[in-house]
Amino acid sequence: MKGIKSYSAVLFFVLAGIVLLSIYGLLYGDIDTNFQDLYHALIDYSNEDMDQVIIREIRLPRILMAIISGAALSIAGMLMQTLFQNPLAGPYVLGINSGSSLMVALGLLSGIGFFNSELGLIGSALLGAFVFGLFILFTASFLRNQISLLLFGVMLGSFVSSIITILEVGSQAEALKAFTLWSMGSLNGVTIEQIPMISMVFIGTCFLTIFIVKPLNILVLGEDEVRLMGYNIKKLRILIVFVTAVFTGLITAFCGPIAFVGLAVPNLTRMLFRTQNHLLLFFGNLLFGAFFLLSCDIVTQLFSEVLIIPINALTSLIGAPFVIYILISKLR
Amino acid sequence: MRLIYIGLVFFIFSCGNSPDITQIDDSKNVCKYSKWLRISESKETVFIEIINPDNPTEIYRLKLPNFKSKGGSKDNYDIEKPVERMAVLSSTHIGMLAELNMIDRIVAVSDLKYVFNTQLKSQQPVQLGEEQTTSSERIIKSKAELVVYNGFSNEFPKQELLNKLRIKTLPNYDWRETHPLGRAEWILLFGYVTGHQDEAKRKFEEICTNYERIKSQIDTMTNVKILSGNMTGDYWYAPAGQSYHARLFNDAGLSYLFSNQTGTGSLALSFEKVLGMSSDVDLWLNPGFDSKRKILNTHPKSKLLPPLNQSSVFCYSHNINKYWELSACRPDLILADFAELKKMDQMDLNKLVFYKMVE
Repeated sequence: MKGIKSYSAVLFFVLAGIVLLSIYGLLYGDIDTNFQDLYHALIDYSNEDMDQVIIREIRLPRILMAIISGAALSIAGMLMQTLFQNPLAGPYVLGINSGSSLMVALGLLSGIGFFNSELGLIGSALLGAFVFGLFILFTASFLRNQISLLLFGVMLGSFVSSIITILEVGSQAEALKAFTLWSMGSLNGVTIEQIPMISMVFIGTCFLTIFIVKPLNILVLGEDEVRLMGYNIKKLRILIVFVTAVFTGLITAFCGPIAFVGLAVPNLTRMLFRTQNHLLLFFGNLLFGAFFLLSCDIVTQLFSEVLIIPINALTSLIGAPFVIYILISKLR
Repeated sequence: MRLIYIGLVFFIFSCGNSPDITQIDDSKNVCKYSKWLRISESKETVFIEIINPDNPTEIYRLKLPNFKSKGGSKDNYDIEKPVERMAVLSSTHIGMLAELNMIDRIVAVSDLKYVFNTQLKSQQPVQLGEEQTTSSERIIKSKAELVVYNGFSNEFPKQELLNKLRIKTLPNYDWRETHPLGRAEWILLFGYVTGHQDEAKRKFEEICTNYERIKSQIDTMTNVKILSGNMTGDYWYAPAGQSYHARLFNDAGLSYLFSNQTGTGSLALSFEKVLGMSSDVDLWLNPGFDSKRKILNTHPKSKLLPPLNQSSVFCYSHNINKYWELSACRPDLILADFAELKKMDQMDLNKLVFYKMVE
């Protein structure tokens, strides 16, 4: 099995790309800023200076959120693909996002105050993702075909979207507006104050993923092998679903549903690394995912003067053809 | 749903060119401000032209007898007698009929959830749903003689079928007008089809006089800089420099932040651009929500906007149905609100009709 050392140059190159894109993203925007503003905004911040405010309060959280979201959704996708042994598995395609969306919709459209709070929103999204993750896991045991699982995810998405439509019809105008804005998906909503909390949850969940790397490597060989190696397969499955739910729920709560990143990036990483070493895949997804979503964000910013491209539209534009490609090439 | 998007629709659509195939001479046109409604009136006949703003060559023509004259000619008319039963699909139509004291003629609406008028609510009209998914059966059940719709997608569903059943359908493009009085002028349409044109004319004249009076009394020496709009997704949507709202801001003597941005529709701006321009803004109007908590929940970075910290945010969202229902035909009342808001520290919050402080 290929190790991290074999691909250290590639990983370093992607990391350097992330750093460069981040600097570009922090400097570029509708308002002209320079390196001096950037230095002050990061090191010696004054909220009296508008340029520094723009860098620190608007661009920095967006860039950091793009990095975290891209990485989290890609790792979540990798975990799902290993769990279901299906290259078409991913939090968006299988409907884990739908669980978060449903719970957030129930929360926001019900008009109950708690659900409109930050804690309520995160709690709803995490709970929805976890419950739907378990439901998908349960259903997957009856589905032998890879396409069936994909179709199940599509059906689950349609089912949830119907419930949401019914909820929307009966909801108050302002609650509906709040939900519609959330469902558009955006990296711009997160504030700099929220970043430490999001980062902590993200880093903690990353450590949890590293903790299950070994059984994940064995899971590729089959469930019997996992049992032979002394792991509890049921606990392992639930742990994978839990980790995926935390990653997906966290991002969905703060940014709304972001499509296809969790499907396209893990496949791309596997194609590139041609390995089942999940430690390497973990770092690959972490960096490629971050690089991918950060690039998408930079592209949307670059074109914003001439064409408005919501981040979700761009990820779908790239991700959907990729799914078709996988369907044609791998499942033929 | 409709009301959520109607605000955006106001901004997003831009106006086309002036009509070039009209049968009503400017000299005979009763409408002074409207761009998309033309009416001519003779002793015997009334001609109404409704111009499609997306395609000004497409004109909806209506010929009806002048209901004021007793005898009337034996011509073929599109509407032969004053409309007694009407289905209206927009809040603005309800407001105009309310101004004419003809709420009792409304037999069907889109959704009672969006109705402000208490008399109409108690009448329990038939609910038809969204314009594009309106049930023809329900229209027939309501026994409406005329359906007035918004024309969001030009053609009304099942239009031909309804026309065969002698139910007239009429588009109303008041929402595409950029002049506040042009929008209010559509009250004349309701006046003519119901045979109450004199009341409608009188009412409109009253609104015009009131509007001009308020405009002339506004203190032009004080400069109050305002920001308008809110974040929708990744962009800040605000009225462009020649839009309906920008015109109202201008008439109220308010210095609108994006008044130099051309266009009659909406502007989509990045938040950093808005923030960069709004350091010396005095007021933020139309943030889309009635409380600061809701604004910050949907877009936490709004806290960086100076007016939010200075309690200088005002919106009509506290009673949104009232605003949508009455504002189109009462631009004088909106202007009066803006004139009051312009007084800043001296403003009397009790005098505001639509707007309230966002707390």
